[in-house]
Amino acid sequence: MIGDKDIALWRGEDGKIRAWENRCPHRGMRLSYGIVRGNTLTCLYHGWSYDGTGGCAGIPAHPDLTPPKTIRTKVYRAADSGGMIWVANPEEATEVPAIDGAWAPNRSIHVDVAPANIAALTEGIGAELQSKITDHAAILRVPNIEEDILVAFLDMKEHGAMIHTAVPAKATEAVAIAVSKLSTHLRQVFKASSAA
Amino acid sequence: MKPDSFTHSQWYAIGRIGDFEGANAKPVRLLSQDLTVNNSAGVLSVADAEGRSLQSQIRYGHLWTTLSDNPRPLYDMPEFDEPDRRLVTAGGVGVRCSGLRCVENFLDMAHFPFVHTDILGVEDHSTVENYDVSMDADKDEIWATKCKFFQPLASAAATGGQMTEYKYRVPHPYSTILYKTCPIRENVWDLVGLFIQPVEEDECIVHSFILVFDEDNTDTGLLHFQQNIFLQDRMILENQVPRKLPLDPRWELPTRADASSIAYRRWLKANELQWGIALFDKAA
Repeated sequence: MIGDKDIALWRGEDGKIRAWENRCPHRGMRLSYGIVRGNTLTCLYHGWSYDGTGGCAGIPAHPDLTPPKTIRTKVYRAADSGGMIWVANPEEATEVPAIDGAWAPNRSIHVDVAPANIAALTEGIGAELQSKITDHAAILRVPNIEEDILVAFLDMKEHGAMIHTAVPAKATEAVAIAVSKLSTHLRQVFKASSAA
Repeated sequence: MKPDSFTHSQWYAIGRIGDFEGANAKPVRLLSQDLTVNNSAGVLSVADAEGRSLQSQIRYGHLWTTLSDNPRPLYDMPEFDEPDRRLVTAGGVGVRCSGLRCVENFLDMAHFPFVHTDILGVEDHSTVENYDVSMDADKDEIWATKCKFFQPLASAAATGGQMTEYKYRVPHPYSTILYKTCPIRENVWDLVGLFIQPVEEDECIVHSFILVFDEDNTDTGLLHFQQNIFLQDRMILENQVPRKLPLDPRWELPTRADASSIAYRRWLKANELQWGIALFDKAA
């Protein structure tokens, strides 16, 4: 979910990440239940397959039919950066966040209430802002953790929010464990009852 | 939303007779209204939330009621009077979507290889041949005929793969019946059908039945076959977006195999059915 939009996220054999509206254009089935074969996504309901660009590539009920070009999924922009997957509306021209160095994903946790902004997230973690990446992502310095960490949050409106963390790829296991514990603690910080 | 007149004027199955045994009063919900089924020494009656008595009847193994004072007659199924047939009812199964989506899924053959893999279809035989769809204008019902599909295990009585012949009937916006080749008798049809109780616009209870010639399987065996199929369908039905049925062609794109679904949506539109329908959302 991004805001109130349901997204199907998948990676083909070519390694490319794709983010599509989570709805088959045929009969509305969630594409996230689909099956990835090579670089196509096949809907679970009727087996309609879609190529990497979102165009319908096959309709099993009519194997000889070339699917009309009008049958397309709604495609969002999607990219990998900093050990995380980034998604944007198709009409948004914003650059994919450039994040220096190699990062290893650490935790993705669900919280009841989205942080209001990066400042609120930084404060909630008890950290110090090193550099802001986007309105929803930043590099932070946490007392007693010897590496900077990468933190991003995703507001899912009435579904709460996700907070994702990454640590430098060279970080020790002790750092990774400390950040993981810190992430777990965020569930308490961004709890429904503490929203007011 | 208040039910449109087509929806309002129908009879609805709300349970099997046996479902109301052992209690004086049982709550049921139909078309966003709370009703009560009263059992007075085995005689069932239905009342609305204000205590007003509603019309009811027992047919096809189920108790039916209507919110209308002047309902359309309940459709006929003469096969229920034929001797030697066995009736097995599966009881109500709640599904979180419009009951109209359940009818449409029931009419659909193209999903057999993917949803009912190795039972009602196999991926190697996914082609849906052209079939005929017609309107019975006198009875105001839809028929899809000459439907053929390769099935590895068409029913509990089937012993191997066969080209199964189907007829589908939609005599009611929330009822649909399948007539399929009987695997053990020539020139007769086995019936499988759904009586759907629309609870809310996007929530329903599906009461299903089978009416077959079958001398070998136990009722439990027939029931298990049916339940297995229906639970595979429910996983799909609860993951279709939106939960209500979209009639606007900009929202969902059909293909040839969907001829019966196209006719069903057209029929609902012609009857000005609105309750349970998703309005087109430009932003979506």
